[in-house]
Amino acid sequence: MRRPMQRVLAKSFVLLSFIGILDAGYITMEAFTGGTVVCPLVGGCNEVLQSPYAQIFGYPVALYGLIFYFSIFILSFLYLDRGNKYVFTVLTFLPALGFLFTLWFLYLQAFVIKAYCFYCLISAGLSTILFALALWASVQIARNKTPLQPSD
Amino acid sequence: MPRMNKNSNEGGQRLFLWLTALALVVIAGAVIYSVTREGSGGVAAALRDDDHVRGNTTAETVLVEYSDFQCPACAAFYSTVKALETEFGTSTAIVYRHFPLSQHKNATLAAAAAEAAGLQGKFWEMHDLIFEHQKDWSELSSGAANDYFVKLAEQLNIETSRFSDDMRDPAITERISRDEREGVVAGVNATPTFYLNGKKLMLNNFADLAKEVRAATYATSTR
Repeated sequence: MRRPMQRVLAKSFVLLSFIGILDAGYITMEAFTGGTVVCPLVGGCNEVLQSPYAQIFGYPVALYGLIFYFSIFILSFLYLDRGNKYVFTVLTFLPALGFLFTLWFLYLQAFVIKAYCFYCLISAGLSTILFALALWASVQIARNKTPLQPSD
Repeated sequence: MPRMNKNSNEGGQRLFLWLTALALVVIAGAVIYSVTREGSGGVAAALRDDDHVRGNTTAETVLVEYSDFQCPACAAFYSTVKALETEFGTSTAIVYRHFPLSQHKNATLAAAAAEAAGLQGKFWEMHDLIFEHQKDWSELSSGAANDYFVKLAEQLNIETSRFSDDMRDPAITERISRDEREGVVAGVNATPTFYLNGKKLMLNNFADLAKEVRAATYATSTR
């Protein structure tokens, strides 16, 4: 019952969501304290972060990102602790939700705002990796459930 | 017996696991807090002869603002600072220092325009106009923005040929980057950043600024 593949996945999720917490946490703090962020590499932070799309229901998008990464972080630890399969199922579905939002935000940056923000791209990268890993894990599990050659 | 051993071992592992989680959360919180709030040093350089000062230039209470003419938050704070001047102008020195951010393409040019106007004694008049018209020049090409600032200078009856030359003066460029360098040392990592009597202020909203200044002027007047 050790399920090594699942544990490796949960550990990678811990690492990725930790980076996500730092990234989204920084932008959330700056959004609430009203500062302008230091904006490396691609410029565009202000255009993106001060656009009307940077808020959903009156709260900064970064806050939802922070909640997203924090949920993955805690659930990964919960899985490492308990090995509960329902927790694992949630862990494989949450990144898909995050990835949908990522696609929407990338579309907004590329075609509507026409500017990119460094921190948003970091988050887009993280959630894409999370989604890819979750997808890979789901495929592996589905394969193991239906073995091609019945053993014994 | 072996069963008990196994249990306590598992308990230890679980404790370690959750302590790791807690430690990571604390680390993340500390990193975010230090990046957004503290900055390195956190003390602004003292008032200089060539600083741009409004209000009472000899006042004990000194408010220093590190700002970027193209930053929207700075433009939003502009009217707050102006209101402060009306209320505390006799008891406070209000200083403007440049901190143009690299992502704002016309910010340094705007700073140069304010400095060039300053050479003809109109720094603050130009400062006000630049902020009030921020939306009109932010998106212009640098050539067009340059022309726009010359037009603003005309409005202030500034001698424009000298103004245009001064805007390209290396001394002005150096002056702007000096403010910037000192800002970095003082821990400016976002604009606008305010320092009251040298100490960096942590503001959550516009009203906080007036609160801090009121407290500081009250403290000096009752000393």
